[in-house]
Amino acid sequence: MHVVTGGAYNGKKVWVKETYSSQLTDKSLWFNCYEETCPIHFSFDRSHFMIVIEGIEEALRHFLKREETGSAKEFFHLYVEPLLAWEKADDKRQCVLIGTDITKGLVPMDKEERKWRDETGRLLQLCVSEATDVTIVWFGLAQTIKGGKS
Amino acid sequence: MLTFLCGGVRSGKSSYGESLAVKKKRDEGRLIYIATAVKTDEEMEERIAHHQHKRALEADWHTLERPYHLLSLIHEIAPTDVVFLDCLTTWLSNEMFFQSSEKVQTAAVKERMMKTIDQLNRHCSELFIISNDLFHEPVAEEESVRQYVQLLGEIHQYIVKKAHVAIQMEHGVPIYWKGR
Repeated sequence: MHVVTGGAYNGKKVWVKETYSSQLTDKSLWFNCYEETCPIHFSFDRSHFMIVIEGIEEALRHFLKREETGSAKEFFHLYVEPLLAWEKADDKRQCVLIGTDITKGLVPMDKEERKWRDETGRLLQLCVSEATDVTIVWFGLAQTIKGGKS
Repeated sequence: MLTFLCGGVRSGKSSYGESLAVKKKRDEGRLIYIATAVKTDEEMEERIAHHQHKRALEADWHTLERPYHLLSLIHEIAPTDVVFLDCLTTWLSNEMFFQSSEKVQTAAVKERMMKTIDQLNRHCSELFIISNDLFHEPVAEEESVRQYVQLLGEIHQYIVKKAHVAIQMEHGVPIYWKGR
């Protein structure tokens, strides 16, 4: 699993599209969590070789809205672990998680926003600890802070 | 030559950038400081005075004040000058919100600012652009704020692509993403 993070509007999506251009075929799946119909349960099958989740923090936000007592840990267990298992079953499979780092600003006034921000920090830590590669994108430039085979 | 510096508030980006700019000054050229901030209240005035005082101590800076339409400064700049633009965030907010209450034409603002950056860069010996990092928190729901953050991010990406040197300032420590 490759985690790609960085600030908002820093060019993360474009970087993933360029880096994985040869693998982003009709055998790949791209989930955009910023769309109104944000998917939380990512459905896929064995015919796919590549899965990209764009905006994992947004999927978490929707999950927390639905599950009042929910946590990053629970989200990770329910929705990220199946992706890891899917990836592990075949060497050719690759999962990329794109997450906006929303953890460095002012403490939000709103309680729900505050929880979402905290849980996003936790979720990114969980994802990063299981990831083989971790890349930070800074206005289009990339720095890989973990792994880096590709 | 284009140098881009970006960091949080009070990260030392202006001071570090200024020290780089002073080193690049040529005997026959000047150090030009483009100030985009508008004096809106006392606190802002103090900030401006603080920066002016510091610059006066360090070197002979020539200040040009212009909140927007920076292209009109071109004829005041010589090819041997070092130009220091501080900062992109206030310039963008002036371009977007200062001039009129009409609906902001984001594409036009972006186009105009990118063109101005190119022209300034071509016109002087060294251009320094300072900006703020405000991309690491939840993006505001309010449409004009969201547009502002998106536009700033896109302009940053454009500048970083063109820059010879791109620096992220972290608590006074420069991290070089590009060049040296």
